[in-house]
Amino acid sequence: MRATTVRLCLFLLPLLACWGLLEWWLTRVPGSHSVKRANLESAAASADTLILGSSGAYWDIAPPYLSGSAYNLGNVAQTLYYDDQLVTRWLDKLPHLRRVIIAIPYVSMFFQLQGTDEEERQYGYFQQWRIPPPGWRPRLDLRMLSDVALRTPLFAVSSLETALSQHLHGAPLAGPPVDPPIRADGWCPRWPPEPTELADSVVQTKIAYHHGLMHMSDEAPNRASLEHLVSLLHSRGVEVIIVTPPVWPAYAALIRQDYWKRAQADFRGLQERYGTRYFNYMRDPGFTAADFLDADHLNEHGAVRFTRLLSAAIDGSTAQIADPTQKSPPAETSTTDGSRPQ
Amino acid sequence: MSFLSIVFAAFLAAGLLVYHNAPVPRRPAILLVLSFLFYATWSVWDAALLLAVTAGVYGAARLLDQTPSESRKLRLLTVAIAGLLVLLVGFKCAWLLATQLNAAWVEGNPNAVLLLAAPLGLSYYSFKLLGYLLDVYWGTLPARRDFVPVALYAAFFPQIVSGPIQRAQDFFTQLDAQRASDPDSFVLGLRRILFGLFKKVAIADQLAVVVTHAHGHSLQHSSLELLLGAYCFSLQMYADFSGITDIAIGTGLLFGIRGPENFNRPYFAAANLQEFWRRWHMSLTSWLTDYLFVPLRMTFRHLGNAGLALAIFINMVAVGIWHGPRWTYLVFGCLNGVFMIVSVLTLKRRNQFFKTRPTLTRWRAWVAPLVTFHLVVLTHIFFQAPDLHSALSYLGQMLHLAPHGTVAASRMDLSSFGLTYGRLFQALAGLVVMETIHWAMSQPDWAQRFNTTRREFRWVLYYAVIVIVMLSARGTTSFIYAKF
Amino acid sequence: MTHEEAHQRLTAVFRDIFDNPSLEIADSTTADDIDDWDSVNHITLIAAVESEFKIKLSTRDVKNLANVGDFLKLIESKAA
Repeated sequence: MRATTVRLCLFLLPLLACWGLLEWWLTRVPGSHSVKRANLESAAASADTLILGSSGAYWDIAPPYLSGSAYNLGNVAQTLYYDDQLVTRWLDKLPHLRRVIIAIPYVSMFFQLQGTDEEERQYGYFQQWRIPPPGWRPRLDLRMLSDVALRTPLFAVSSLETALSQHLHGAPLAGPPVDPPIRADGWCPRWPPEPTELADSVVQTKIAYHHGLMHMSDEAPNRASLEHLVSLLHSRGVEVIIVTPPVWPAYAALIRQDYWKRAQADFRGLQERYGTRYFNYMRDPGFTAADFLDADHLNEHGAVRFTRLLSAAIDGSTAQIADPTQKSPPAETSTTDGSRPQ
Repeated sequence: MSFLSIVFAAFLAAGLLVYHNAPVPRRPAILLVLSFLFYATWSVWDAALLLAVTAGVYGAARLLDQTPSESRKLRLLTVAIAGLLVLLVGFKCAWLLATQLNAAWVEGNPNAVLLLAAPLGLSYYSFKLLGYLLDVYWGTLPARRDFVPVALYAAFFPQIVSGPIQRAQDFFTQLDAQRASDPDSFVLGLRRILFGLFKKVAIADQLAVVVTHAHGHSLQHSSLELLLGAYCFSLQMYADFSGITDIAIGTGLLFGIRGPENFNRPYFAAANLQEFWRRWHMSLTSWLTDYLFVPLRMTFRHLGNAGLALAIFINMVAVGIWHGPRWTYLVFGCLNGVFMIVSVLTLKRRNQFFKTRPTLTRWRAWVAPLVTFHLVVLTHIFFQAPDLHSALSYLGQMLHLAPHGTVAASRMDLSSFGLTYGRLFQALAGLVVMETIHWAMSQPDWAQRFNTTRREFRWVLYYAVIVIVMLSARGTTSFIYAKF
Repeated sequence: MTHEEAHQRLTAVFRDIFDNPSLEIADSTTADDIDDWDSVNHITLIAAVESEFKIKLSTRDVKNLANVGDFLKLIESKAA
């Protein structure tokens, strides 16, 4: 039995060596988290505005069009837990921070990563930002420690292969850049748009998929994260602005009012307790098909237009643009406000 | 922890170290502790339930042995069986019932999933314990005096996630015969695990791409594409389920316990449906044969063919709904029942027809497995679909009855599945390799013959398979049969 | 009924059920030795034996039969 065990260890040695090599290689291959972290470290000393949220922030809010110096710390499927954790850990490294803009689209209050297709993103946050996943079960996964397991051995091997063949032609030994590219200010503008995504059947499939991801039972932990984030910033005198980015009307028409009303009530509560401002662009008529990437995201042009509008609203008026349910009571009971862009 | 995680590998390594360095008499207890540790990482409450149920069955079995009176024995048995069945059916249907009765509570309650989800491996361990109880009642097996073997039998962690369903007699015989650690069994186990991983990652997961797309968007595909989707699902299920069985059997072998086989080349060697079910998910079907079909058949034996048909039908419906309280599983069971009844009742006459026609008999050897395969593919469409409506629309679209959309029936566009010819070819090549290995494993003394080849050759083969598995791996993955 | 007689009558039943007029059975014959002897035919066999020998068999009796020899012993004990 002992001989067998020794032979097994000898057998595994070359495999472990290869694995170790690939792990080392992946430290030289940038991913969205490593790029954003590096950029944040450069921008932290001067940034006075931080943008947080999921892809609704990451793609839709363009830092150059906000006043002052802004850094976009949003990322795809970034939940409120991670928004809270990022701010908590980086607040002290942002000496000039005066305001935080959080994009909270329809899904975010009712969405957690664990148990969904996107759950592997939790491991990226741990590996690059040292933020552990909420709950203990995901912490047992190999991908907490191994980047090769997270980005798949196939990716590690093929990126190494490509880099080596390019190196033989004189290029330095480096991993492929992140795609789509991320700017130094953290924003990831999306171009070209995908007009087929706005077709009614595609929109219906998409929102059905989103509804599959959303659970009422996820609201409580998300609200807690948001509240913690807001109260922390409030205590440091940093202004908090919550934004709902624009969506394609066919998408807005299919949202569930029971979910949305709960989210609105949560935002109102924060307004009352901490004086946060809330801007709701979900059904804003100022956006056309040319502005959208897909049913619930903006492309580069739309992001510029949206940020300009948002910036004017934030800096221009002190009165907030209230959500439709407050302004026009009949809208409270209807499922659509009927507006469509030209 | 799932089978495919680092914690499991670490747990296994540590467990094996402790187990193989312990004196033989202590090993069952160590294995029991390991099994409950494994189980507790899924849920501590469910582990307590497992322990309680096992204790109940252990006690009932001992009482059965000690009770001389037939009528009391029967009463005791009925109570025990009823208890187990209530538990099994109750948990399986809990989610369904709760969402029917009070959907709002289910949605709003974060603990709903925890409270209503069936405990891990409930189907497997309740069947094991039920079988043990019946074996004691029928006198096939004496009730065990020690609690540890019975508890280990029910909780044995390699088999609790997705089977195979080992028989008590087989398990106890092996447990009692344990001597010093056997390196051959250990290596056999590792090889089996590797083979299982290959089937799962390099074959089943590649086919899964086609299947999820075909079933998710059936109306966007042509008839031919949906046919491919149906074939792929049946092949995926074979690779996936036999893969996890291999991992389960392999893990058991690491501890010196050999589990029963679940598959015996079902698709290419089964000439009729009854033969198919003797080669597919064998541990479940043989369990149902011995503990459901035979008693039913005995009860109906004087009803002639009608009794036989009834017993077959009930048996196949049980196979279907064992998987869960869904209409699609019920239809799956009923279809199998009907096909099986026809096949069983006409077999004699078919054999007589072919006896006098030698050329046709030669054709039959080729055609019969193909026909059987297609019947199985048809029933699998219902098995895979999330509900009856999707199953019927899939079938309708595939058979080009009331076709939807403008896609030509004979289009074959792999990119519509997000697939390339390369990927599909890899999956098919993998299937060929898999079946060849299965055929080789069915030859006598294959293990010895393989062991006498050069070590370098074997190691290169293992490295090649490991590399293929690693390069085919894509993020998380789950086994189809882990949720039953 | 002698052992010979029982063996003869049982052989006749086997030949009828398995449709093989030249089938021979010995005490050591098991289900693996006869091609069509599966769980379906096993019970048909039991029913035929019951009607031939005018006996009644229970599931417990039937479960513990390892070979034809056991079967004959069972029949003889029930018929006595």
